[in-house]
Amino acid sequence: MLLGLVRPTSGSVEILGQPVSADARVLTRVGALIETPALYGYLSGRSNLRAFALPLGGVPGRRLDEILDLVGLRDRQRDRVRRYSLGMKQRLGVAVALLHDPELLVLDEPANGLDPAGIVEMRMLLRRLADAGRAIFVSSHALAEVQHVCDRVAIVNRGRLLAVSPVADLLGGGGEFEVRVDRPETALALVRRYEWGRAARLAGGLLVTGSPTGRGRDLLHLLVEAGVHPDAVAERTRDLEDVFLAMTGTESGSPVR
Amino acid sequence: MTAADPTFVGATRGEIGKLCRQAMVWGLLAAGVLSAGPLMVAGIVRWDAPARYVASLSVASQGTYQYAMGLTLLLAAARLMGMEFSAGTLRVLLARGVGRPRLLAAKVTALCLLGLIVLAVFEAAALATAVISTPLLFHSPDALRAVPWTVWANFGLEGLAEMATIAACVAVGFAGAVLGRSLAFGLVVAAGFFPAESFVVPLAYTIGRPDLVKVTDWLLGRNLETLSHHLRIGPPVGYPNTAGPLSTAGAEHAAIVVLVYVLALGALSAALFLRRDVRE
Repeated sequence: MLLGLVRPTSGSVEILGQPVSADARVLTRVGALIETPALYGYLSGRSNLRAFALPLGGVPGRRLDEILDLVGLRDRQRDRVRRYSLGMKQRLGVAVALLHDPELLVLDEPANGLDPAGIVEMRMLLRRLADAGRAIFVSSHALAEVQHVCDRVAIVNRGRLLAVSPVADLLGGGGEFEVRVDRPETALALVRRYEWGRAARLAGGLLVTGSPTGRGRDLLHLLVEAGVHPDAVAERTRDLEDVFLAMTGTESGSPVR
Repeated sequence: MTAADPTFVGATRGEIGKLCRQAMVWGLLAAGVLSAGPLMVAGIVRWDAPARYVASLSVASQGTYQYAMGLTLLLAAARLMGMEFSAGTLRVLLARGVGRPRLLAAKVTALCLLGLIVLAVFEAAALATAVISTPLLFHSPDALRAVPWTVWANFGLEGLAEMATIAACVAVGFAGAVLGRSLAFGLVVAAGFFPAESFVVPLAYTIGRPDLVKVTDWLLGRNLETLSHHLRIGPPVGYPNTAGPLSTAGAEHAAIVVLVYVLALGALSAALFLRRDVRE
């Protein structure tokens, strides 16, 4: 819908301030990789780039070299794409998206089907592109990957936008701390006496709790005064999966749309 | 900065590139020429007089083209369109802003150009063969003078009829692929369309309804075969009539039937291609 492939039953889409329809001109300013890389298997990597570039006016050979270098496929550019690994196809798909130096790059599940090495390669490629100043919009269910790659995230559930925020802000622990102590049950009973400690709990042998002032050293001070000597105190951070599940109210394993 | 500027010429060049790099296209064309050519020459070409020789040569050339290029264009059209659906490349092209009407027009143009270029090669080869071989075969440098101008004109008229073959084959090939949104479905329709038509006659006799043979007047394949037969001018030169319909239909009828098929299949392809969501 974002790229004019499917007509919305209601509402409208704008990219770069322009409305998007099936044949919208604004799409020429956008590069996209939609799920699995769609390529012509009987053509070489370089010929694929040429085949996708020609309808939009073509690109000089020098530009093809640049892009092939960028995605690390220069050495395999003459091989037929049907002989490429999935990771190579995925990188060639990104190369297709980059052909005309788009203002915006839209990547749908860019790590889809990649092995760990391929995921790292893709992550580094996206980082290089972002560092070069390109705006990249990634749509993905792989939240760990999103957490690694993205600066800002938007969480959508059942068609509703729940949050848009820098990743670091979303992952903040909400003022909670993880405390390693010899007698966690005693420490738990202690902090639960306070209003700020009502939500305290044990997780993996650690005490997870708030703090009297929101600062770790005040929590530490209170525990020591009560005769509980912590081995370690650390601010609790969450991963994007925790945040997503908390926001959408879903349990791991239940369907999320 | 490399600004993207979608153009029809660029899209057509892209389609020609995709088409020309398909080994299937050239393999089919070569196989068609190698299998049909000798049969046509052996069955049609008459060697007894210069006029009959040249006239029959043009019929053999036209028959070879119709068989070889017809089959090639049918499958190439189905593949050129069907692979975009099956490989998912259609969504990449459209998401890049190529535009559906431009893409469809570029594909049609690329295939028609291929058909016309191969037709020109066939015509030139047939004419060159006639001009070079006639004096040699009939042991007289004046043998060509015995060939009436109508025989030479028929080379061009048969070329016109072959343009109808190009349009029909591209329309059938595209319609199957767009209708089924897949390469496999498109290839099945392309490969099966004309053979399925040819079952009408045996079927009519099998079920004891020989009157149904009249239906062949309205079939695309029969009318394509008939068209070039009727377009020829001048006195008959005695070559066998291999292209006659089972029932009698005139040139005008054949032209209208072919045109209706091309327009109907073209409209179906265009409507589905331009309007349907892309989910592949």
